[in-house]
Amino acid sequence: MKRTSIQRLSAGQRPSHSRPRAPLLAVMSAIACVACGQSNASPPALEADRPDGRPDQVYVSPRTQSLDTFPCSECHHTVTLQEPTLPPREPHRDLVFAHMPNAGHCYQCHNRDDLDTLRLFTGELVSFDDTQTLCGQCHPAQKRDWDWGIHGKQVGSWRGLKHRYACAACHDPHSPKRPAVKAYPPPSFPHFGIRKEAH
Amino acid sequence: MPGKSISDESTQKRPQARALRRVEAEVETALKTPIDRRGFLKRLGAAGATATAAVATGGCTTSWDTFFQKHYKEMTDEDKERVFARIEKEAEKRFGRRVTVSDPGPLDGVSFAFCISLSLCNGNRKCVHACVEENNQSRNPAIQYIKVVELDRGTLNLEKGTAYYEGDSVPAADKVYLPMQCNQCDNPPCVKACPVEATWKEKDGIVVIDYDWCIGCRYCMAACPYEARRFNYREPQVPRADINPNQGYLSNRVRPKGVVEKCHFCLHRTRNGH
Repeated sequence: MKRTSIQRLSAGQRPSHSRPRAPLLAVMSAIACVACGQSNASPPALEADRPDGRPDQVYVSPRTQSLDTFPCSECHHTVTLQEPTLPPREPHRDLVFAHMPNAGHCYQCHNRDDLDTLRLFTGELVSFDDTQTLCGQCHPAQKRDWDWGIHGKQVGSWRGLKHRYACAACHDPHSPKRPAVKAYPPPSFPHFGIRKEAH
Repeated sequence: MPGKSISDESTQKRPQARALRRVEAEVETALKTPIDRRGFLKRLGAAGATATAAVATGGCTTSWDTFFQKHYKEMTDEDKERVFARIEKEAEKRFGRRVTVSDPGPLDGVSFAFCISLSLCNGNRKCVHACVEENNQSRNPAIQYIKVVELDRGTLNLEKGTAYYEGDSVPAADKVYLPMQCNQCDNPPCVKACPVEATWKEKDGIVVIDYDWCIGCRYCMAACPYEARRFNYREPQVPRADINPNQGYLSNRVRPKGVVEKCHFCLHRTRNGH
């Protein structure tokens, strides 16, 4: 079920880094028109600025393709703990859980019956491509900013196809706080400059 | 490679230097030998003529075309074509790289703005270095458009902030980071300060500089409240492999020495929709 105003390309289509070709554009705008009729939740800021009046196309990096090699169900169709413990045990021992310290168990987000999908609080199932819907349940402000292209990384073209990264592309869902990093080197201090402490 | 460009320059200047040395030697001998005024002037004239000839045949770095180049806004399409071709040729000669120079114009109904979320910036300076690579900025002496200032959390006191912090682990506790670059002001003081109109505000809000028209007086740097403008005190040094061949006349072409530059909103990309 389509839950957002964002258009996702089908699995076969890849975003082209050059300007999108005309047939592709036509297909996508057709999709967009249908979707716009269904949903009125699209952010106003994006469409108002379009010089040619076409709605924006956003491509969200999919995540299900990384599940193709080792689907969760490969193991979990035989072994599914009814009451999993935290921290997670043997196969997932490297998993650090530092998200919402009072989380009861894995199945607040993962779907107990089919580990290849995720589960919303309403009981609705979403795929791993729709993590933003899942995360947006508790983080509506970030979800709104993400929808408008303010939060998170967005590359591509501002007047054509945007490529937006989903939540889990930057945040580890199990410990979402971004780690501290090493900064790039500072600019060289001016030759005749006087440091602030030296004043 | 920087070494290559230096050797290129020295080969260019060699005939000129040789001519100058010859003039010096002539003058020296003329001063040493007892000689009447008329003979001295005659000799000096001869030496001068030799020097001029040598300079005219190949030592001169400023061509006729460069000297009489028009202001960007007064250029016709043919002028632009000729000037861009010359800049491309010069770049190829200096860096051995084929580059394309263009000047995408402002788009109708578009004006640009940028936003920075200060609550998200963690001060890692990656943007600073990405900007340097995109815009062919001089690596030595280093010119950077973006300056990331580290401030105490809860203040915006720039006097207590520093842009020279060592970021071994950023974001540091109790610090916030403020990236500063050209804000493309709606009422830009730098444009008013320029005595030759080498910098102006375009229709889509971008404040641009005609590097070939700039006289390097640096009034605009004094006028800018955000310290956004940088001056090329020396010939910009960019490694050959790091040259970005997609260049704009008003944006990221390699700047000449002695001109001011600043953030130009990557107009060679943004105006093409990127």
